[in-house]
Amino acid sequence: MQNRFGVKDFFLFLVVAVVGVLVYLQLRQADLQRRDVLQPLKSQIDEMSEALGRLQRDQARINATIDRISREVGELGERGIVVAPGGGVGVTPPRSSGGGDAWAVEGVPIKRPPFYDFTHDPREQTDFVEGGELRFVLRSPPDKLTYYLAGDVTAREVNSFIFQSLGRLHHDTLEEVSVLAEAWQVAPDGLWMRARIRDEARWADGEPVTAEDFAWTFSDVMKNELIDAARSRSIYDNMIEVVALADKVVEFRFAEPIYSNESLAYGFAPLPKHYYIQFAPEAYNSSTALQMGSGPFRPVSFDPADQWAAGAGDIVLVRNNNYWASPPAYNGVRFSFLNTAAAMLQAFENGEGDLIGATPEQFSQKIGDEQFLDMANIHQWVNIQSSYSFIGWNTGPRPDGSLGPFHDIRVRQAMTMLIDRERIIRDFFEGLGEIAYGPNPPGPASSPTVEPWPYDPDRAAELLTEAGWIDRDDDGILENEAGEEFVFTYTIVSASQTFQRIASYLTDAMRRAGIRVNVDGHEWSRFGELLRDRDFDAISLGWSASGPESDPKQIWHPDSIQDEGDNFVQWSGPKTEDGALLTAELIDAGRRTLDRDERMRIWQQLHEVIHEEQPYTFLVRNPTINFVNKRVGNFREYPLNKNKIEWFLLQ
Amino acid sequence: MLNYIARRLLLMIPTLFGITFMVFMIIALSPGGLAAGLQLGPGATQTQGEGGAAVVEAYLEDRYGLNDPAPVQYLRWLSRISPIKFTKRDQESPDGQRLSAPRPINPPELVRADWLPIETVTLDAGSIEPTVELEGLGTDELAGLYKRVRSEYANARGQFIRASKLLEIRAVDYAEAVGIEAAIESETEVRVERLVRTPFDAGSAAAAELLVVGEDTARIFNAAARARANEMAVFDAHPLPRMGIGVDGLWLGAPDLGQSFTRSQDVLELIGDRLPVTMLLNVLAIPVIYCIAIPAGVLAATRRDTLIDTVIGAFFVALWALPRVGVGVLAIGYLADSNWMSQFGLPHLPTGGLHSDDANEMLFLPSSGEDGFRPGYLLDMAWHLALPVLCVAYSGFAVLSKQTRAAMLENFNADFVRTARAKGVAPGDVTLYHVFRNSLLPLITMFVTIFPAMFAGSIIIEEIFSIEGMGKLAIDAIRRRDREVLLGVTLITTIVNLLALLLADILYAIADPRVSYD
Repeated sequence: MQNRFGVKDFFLFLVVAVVGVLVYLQLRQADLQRRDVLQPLKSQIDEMSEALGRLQRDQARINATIDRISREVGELGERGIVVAPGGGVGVTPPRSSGGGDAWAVEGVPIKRPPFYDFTHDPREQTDFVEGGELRFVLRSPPDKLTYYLAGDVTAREVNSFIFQSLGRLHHDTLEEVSVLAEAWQVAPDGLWMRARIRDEARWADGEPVTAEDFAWTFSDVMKNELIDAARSRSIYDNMIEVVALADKVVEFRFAEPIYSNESLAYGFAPLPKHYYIQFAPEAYNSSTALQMGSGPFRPVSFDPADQWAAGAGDIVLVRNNNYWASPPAYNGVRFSFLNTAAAMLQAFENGEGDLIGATPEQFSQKIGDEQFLDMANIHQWVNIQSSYSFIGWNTGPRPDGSLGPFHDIRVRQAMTMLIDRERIIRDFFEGLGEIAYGPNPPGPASSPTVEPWPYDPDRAAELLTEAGWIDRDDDGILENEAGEEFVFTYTIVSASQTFQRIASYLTDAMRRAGIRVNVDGHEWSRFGELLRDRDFDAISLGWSASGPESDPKQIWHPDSIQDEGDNFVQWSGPKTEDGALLTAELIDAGRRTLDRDERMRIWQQLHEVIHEEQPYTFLVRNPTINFVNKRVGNFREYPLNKNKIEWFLLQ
Repeated sequence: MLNYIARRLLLMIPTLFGITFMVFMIIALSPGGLAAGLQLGPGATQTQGEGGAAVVEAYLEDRYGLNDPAPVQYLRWLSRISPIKFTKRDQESPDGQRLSAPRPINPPELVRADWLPIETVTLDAGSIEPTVELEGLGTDELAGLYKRVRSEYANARGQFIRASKLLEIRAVDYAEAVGIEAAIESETEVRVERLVRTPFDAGSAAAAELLVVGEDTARIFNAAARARANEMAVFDAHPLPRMGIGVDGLWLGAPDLGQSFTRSQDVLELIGDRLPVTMLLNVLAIPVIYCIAIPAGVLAATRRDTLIDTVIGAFFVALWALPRVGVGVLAIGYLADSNWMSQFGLPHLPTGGLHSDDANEMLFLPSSGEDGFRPGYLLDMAWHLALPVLCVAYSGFAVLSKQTRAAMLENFNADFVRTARAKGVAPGDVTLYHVFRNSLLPLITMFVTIFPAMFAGSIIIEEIFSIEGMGKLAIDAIRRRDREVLLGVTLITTIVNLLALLLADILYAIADPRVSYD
């Protein structure tokens, strides 16, 4: 074989080597250019944009003040009366711009909730530092961030830094506070809500927020059938019209007078018409992150060609230099994504994230780890947004018409008393969380007289005997009069480890009481189908709330049994003396009651009925567990979770 | 040879049909339904309003064409991905979106069945004259008009879908009231053919309500049908540039993989973003496997039946037996733990992703300046890829090294090796030039068996190391029942694998002159 290294081979080798060296030199050249020319340029641009940002902020305040003064002057001339003036130049936080109430309907009281951004102002804290980037490490990226298309929790979290609404709830006091609105009125009949938008409110590109933005967002985005916002549309079902009455006056109109109309309206997030109008519905649908809002942060670029997409790495938000109110302490927010809880914790420990949500197991693993506690604080608290998990008992017929054992109220009460919820919390939730005992968190909407049912197997056995479930053939399993054994299926989402464990506990606890449980795990799609077809005996899920009271209609109203509504346990509750359904009456009355205190009394009554009837066995209210890097300052636990805007970053 | 390649390429077409049909039917037959999967999931909000979830589901089914029988849906999908199309020519909007002719609309069965005595409204049947005036419009005006009629039809259609679902729900109430249990499919679905067997009984309150809703639905249908006629008229006037070449009914155009159900993005675009990542992972793993496995195999063959041979064999088989999931998680738990790694004075590896946070601001090559050594973009990426590539690669060592060893041993006993030895060629040269060179052939075909397995295996690796590749896309699509994405991923993965097989066969023929396909 002739395989010697010949002259031809030598030249081939030489050519390859020369090409390699040339490529390397070319790359090196490009890098040098970039370092010498681009990087100094970049730092200059950064400095300039910082300076420009300050100018823009000042400009925004001056504009707002001029607007106000000119309007006040105009009104003075018109009405010939003196109106209390607003603030001076450079006000932070914004104050009422005064200026009369010509926008309002006469005779209807005007609400002027205080402006709200920080619960505790970071700049008043002792070790306050400006700057830095806040880094979240989250589980799995959202599909998209474009408002009204995005539906998942992560997208909502990201968008909370960018988009604002007229008002919201205070994190600590839970009272209504204002953001974009200066004041609003609610119709005495509950059919409209009229709001006056703040003069100083601006979009991230410096344009003012107008009533037209609200009206356009409602008619051309949310209610536009070409746009994939079916879910948002169904939430705003009761809102039929949004009208721009004047430049800064917007009115929301409703089909039915429901107490939640007001919060629906002040929670409505407008989009800037002048920016979004360039996108045809198809382009809007296929967009991944079109985010221009009025909040303190903004995406790096508003160019639709540069929008973030799942798979394109971290979501990066930067400070909005046109922000119209007092800016947060830090300069930017970064969301990075890791798929497993273990990797998230690892990245956090390596100092690559400032905050992660942790599992109860991670909590108990790290609470005694001194090395960990040196770098991080562990927070766990049950708050209003904490979800509660429950077992729902099918009180109505299954699709084949057969009635399960749980149509009997005594059986349901017995079930609750057979489940040792303190033990569930101890064994499966590492002792974290509280026993849940009703649909609302403890507070005004929950009855003060209700106590959780105790763990009492003896009393449960008595109730079961009373209901006709007795072990008639001494095989350890209860039977009814017809001789049928007490067996039920427990349907859960198989991906949920928590419910898997609860299922094994439930099987065990029920066996001791003479009841057999068949655990039936499904993935979400099939689970949803069983839920809608009411094809189960017992089912587990969790609900979470966004405020101290939530509209009970969807889950508890007998009407929601129909049409695949969310009353999947088919519970219609007791009847009143004249044969009507008590829960239907209570819920309908409560929804119509605009007076808060009176409505709370009704919700408390409803809570008592639910407690007595036990269509659900409420299990646990799960706490929020956060590992927070020590460099995050001003982190506080609030009844309404946490206020991320008010933190600052040491170093 | 060309003949052979052409034959192989043609054979791919039925293979693709088979695979996509299987996947399509599995999704179509899986319990739960697609539209339901779009609605419920962790973090989903409650649905509100009249009709609740049922109306939203009906809307989604209509939007994605899920209410036809599964084979019809499959044919529609095929016609979209086929380069030869039999529809009206699509048109392209200025922002690059593909716009097709308006979809047909059918009156609700209940109203059409001549069973409900609707008197106030007559259903518009057959051809409806459009009410738009197209005479003398310029291109821009036409495009503007098209935009308007499109959104009008979409709104009208949406209302119609809602109304007909509500009508169906009322029909269920009616069936309950008059006691035709057989006509009730579920709380929100009615079997019309059973219902219309008994004449309409106007006696009950449910019947009166059904009649009112029926009249409403008929009215809304008429409006929607008129809106469709308008859109069709404008579409036929070609307000936008048409795509492809040919005439309406037979034209050539680019395959359309459709849009993701859950993301509303073009499937092709989604895959285009992720395929390079997965390919990179696999293409990097192949040299790693070959560089380690082949020398190990050669060593094992030359030291046959010694301790080294046993250790190499046992070690690689042990690696092969380790599940990737466990290895990946352990790798993150130790090698990416800064505390653990700092015991040995080593920097920790990244926990996931492909780049550092500040990768965009890095130079491409490593550099050392006043502020010390900086890794640069290239090294940073290599640093992030180290663990995933290793996890993709390690199980390939066993097969390849065993294969090398077996081929070497076979050649050690061959006549030409004995001759070479007899000639007095140095033992090292015999191994390298005579035995090893002739053992290379089977290693080329090994590429074929390794590649598809690696491609599949990288799905798990991508999930563990949070890399946004094809694997993660596929897993998300399965979890969320995103049929279009899943079909697209299947199609592209199949094509890549089939091409890899073909490439291996061609390489085999080039490497070994004895092999010929003609």
